[in-house]
Amino acid sequence: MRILTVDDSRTMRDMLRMALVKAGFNVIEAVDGEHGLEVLNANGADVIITDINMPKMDGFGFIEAVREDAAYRATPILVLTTESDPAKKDRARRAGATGWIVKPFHPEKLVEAIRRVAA
Amino acid sequence: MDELEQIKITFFQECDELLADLENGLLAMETGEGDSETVNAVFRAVHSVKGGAGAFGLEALVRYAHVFETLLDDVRSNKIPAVGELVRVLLRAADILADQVTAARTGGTPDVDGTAAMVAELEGWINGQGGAAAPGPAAAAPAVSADDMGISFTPMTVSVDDFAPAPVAMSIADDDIGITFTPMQVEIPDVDGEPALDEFPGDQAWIVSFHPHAALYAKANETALLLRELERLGPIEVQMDESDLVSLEHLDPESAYLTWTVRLTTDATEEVIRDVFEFVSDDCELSILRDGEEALPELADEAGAAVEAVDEVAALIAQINAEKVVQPPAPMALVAEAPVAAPAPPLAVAAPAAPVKAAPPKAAANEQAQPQATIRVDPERIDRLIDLVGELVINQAMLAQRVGAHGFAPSSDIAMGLDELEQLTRGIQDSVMAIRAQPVKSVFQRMPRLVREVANQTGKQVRLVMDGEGTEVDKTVIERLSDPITHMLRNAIDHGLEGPEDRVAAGKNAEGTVRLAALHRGGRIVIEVQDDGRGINRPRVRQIAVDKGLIGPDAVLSDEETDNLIFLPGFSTAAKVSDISGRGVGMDVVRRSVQALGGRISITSRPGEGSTFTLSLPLTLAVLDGMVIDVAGHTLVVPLTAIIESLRPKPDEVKALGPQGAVLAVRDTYVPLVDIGSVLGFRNTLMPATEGVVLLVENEDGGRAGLVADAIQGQRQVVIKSLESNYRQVDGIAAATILGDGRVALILDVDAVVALRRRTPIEPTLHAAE
Amino acid sequence: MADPVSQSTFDRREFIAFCIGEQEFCVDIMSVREIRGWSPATPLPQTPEYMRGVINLRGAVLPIMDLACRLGLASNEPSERSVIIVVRMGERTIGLLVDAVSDILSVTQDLIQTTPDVACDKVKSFVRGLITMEGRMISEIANERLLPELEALAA
Repeated sequence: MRILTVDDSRTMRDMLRMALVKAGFNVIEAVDGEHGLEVLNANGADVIITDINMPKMDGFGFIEAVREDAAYRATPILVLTTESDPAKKDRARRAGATGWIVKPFHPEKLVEAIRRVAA
Repeated sequence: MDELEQIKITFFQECDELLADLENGLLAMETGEGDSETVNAVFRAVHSVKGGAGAFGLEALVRYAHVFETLLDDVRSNKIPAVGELVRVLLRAADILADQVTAARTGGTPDVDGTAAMVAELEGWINGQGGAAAPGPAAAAPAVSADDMGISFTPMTVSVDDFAPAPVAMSIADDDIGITFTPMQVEIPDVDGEPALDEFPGDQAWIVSFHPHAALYAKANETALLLRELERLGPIEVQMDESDLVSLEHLDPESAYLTWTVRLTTDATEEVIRDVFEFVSDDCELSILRDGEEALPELADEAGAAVEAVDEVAALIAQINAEKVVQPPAPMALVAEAPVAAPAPPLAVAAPAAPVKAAPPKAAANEQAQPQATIRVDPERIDRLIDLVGELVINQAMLAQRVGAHGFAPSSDIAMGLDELEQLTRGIQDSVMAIRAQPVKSVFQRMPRLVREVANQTGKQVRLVMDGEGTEVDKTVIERLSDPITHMLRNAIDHGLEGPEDRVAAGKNAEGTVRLAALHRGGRIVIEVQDDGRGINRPRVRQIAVDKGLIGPDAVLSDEETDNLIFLPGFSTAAKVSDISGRGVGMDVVRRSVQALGGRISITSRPGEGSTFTLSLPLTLAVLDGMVIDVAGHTLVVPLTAIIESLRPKPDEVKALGPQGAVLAVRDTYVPLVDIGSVLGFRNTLMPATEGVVLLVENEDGGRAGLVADAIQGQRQVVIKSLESNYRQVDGIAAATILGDGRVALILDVDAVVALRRRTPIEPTLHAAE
Repeated sequence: MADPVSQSTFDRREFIAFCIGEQEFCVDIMSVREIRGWSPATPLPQTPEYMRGVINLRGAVLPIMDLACRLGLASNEPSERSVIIVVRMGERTIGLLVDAVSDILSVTQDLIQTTPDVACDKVKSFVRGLITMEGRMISEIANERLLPELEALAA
């Protein structure tokens, strides 16, 4: 299963990669929303994990753009965020996010969340 | 190295970048160049520091970053205008954030009082008190919202009970899963008030019924997956209620018509079952009841109504979003291919003939500037590559030498092939060096803070202008730029710029300007530090030099020579020794350390208008062109940049001077002779200059000397190897290199050798300066 | 109750033992990077007598310390039998010139005396502990004490 992680923080991308690779997933990465769309279009992904606060195109814009593409309408998107602000979580959901992961995350919880949304 | 440790290193590297972005953004805001994206970037920088810090359980850092972030969020949402005093506060807050990061990195203790005061100040702004007097330290405890606390500040421990019954196995499990991540799971009080279940775990039958709304599928959630998750908890029996299903011609693929009822037998708590629906709870009607229990109809209705209201809004938004997209007119295919519940855009179904209005996002994204594709490579691999290319250069040079020695004509096949090899080798070398080249930005970006601090200490108003931050230079040089630039800037502000009153009296802006610039010139990197201050007071400089015996009272010096007297050892222009320029290191030491790197530093000045320091360094410290010489059976390398010419003295040109000394007549002047072999202790008796070769070199104060060697082997480019990485600096030796035969040869530090000859001890502060 | 076998296994340490003259010394095997034969070193000027100079270790410049000289023992000119033990000292790697490698020791903690009582004070200052086994007495070298000049610089 291929997972696309979109986060402008290298630390967070490395963290995710470590946890995901350990769990046996393939990981591709992008540094912002725009880059995320490119990487997604070039490689495809089974699950997308995205940050919210990013330069160029933020997580909301990215999710909306992904959902606009029929090819990815059924691709699960998990929002990765430290935001505990319910309004933000809700905005992500309205944009089309499938679920969320709160940072800092436990690897097992991360994998569990993926399993919960991925076929 | 442990993977997590590696990520931690990455985190701190990233912090450096984020802190630089933060500072640059704030500086742009200060000058009014910032826009909303600048503010966003500033916010993101602090946000990302906080996020990473949370992952590593760096609580003090998280707590401080949180307060900072909160204020920036207010700025971002235009609650507080980012002008004037606030930006200066934010800049200082950024400095303290940098200190916090450093403390977290080194495990040191940050300035507690300073941090507390800043937190109080930031909170003052958050609470709308603006520049009002900051509350006392008592108010320093940062107000982190309980919501955030619950998740971010979970202690860095993992409950291992789940993993291992026996202690031995437990330690293995520890390694495997790593105690590394903060668990996300926090104990949540049982909101439904059903504690009994927790106390008596055991299999229990539950009736889970849920009716997905269209919005659930619009977010790529799947009923099947939810059922699968439920099945993980225990055996399930599933019933599907399709009574809501409409006939095919009325079917709206966007809608959801099915209700699922699941009988689940499990020892899991209701909490755990509810967790399965965590992501979809707002997009479905859900009831979880113990088998035999009945739903409270009113509550369910109420909840259902609320859910429907939310769902309507969501559906509306989904529709709005869907309208942005236009599908190719193939509705039947869409319906047929997609599972019943899978959402298809209503527009496409309702209006199959809808024209194609917009390009898919794929194309839209491609129109944007492509982010530069980069690869990350361990620097050690590049270093190794550079080493290898260096060896290649050496071997190629030696081969060329041998071919020459065998008398092949330059037009011979072999000689021409060698020429091509040489060009290829140099090409490879340039390319490899370019890989390691970095913009000087990483050094420059540390300077605004320095300038702010020195300005504060001196009570001067300073504007720093930076140019050419993108100028690239080899990593080895980057590392050595920081100290001299720091000294030049300190000096420019401390000695160059006047105080505000003096400046106004002189008809200048009260705020002085210091310009820091980097550029490439003549195969070297040049750093300029220019101030618009008073310029060098030449009569005073000259007087000091005379008083200190550095020059004779009658010495005739050009303006330029006078200016550069400040680099002489023991010179200090400040009437009072300030701890800013001072720090025990004079410009003489700066010059020495620069020259040790094959660099030069000088100053020019115009009275009343200001001064300019100019520093030039080779673009790399990885290789140098050297003269390979023999001295008392040892092979040494002398940097070519230091050598003016090489001579074979005739007996009448060498004159004895004192018991051990000798001078050489070079045209109209006499230069002191320095026997390399005896200075380095390779031999006990002086070698007569007439029996060997003399390398005429220019030393630190522009004076000349003749280095006596036994013989010259030739010129060669050599790879510079540090002695310090495994041992320490050695007097008289700049570095080492490896020759074609695999032996180590030492590279001479010309100035140090001349200084050793004079029996003047090497400056003890030299190490500190580097 | 702890398993006595695994307990002692846990405490077992390994050392590379070597000779200088008649005496036996050792270093913790964890600090040893490699062992190589002697090759002539390029002398470094202005350095203590015990620094033999530097050699090329696969592209890196490796300083060589004459351990006999450092310990104040009789130092012989290196021969073909001489050996360089390449050890890590914190961030640095240096080569220790010794007469010959004699053994690899696997020792339980109880065989190591922490307060050695050896005759020569100079030797004593570089020795961390004393291993007695099979009638031999082997002094463990405290690597980090061999280059005091580095500490002074780092300060």
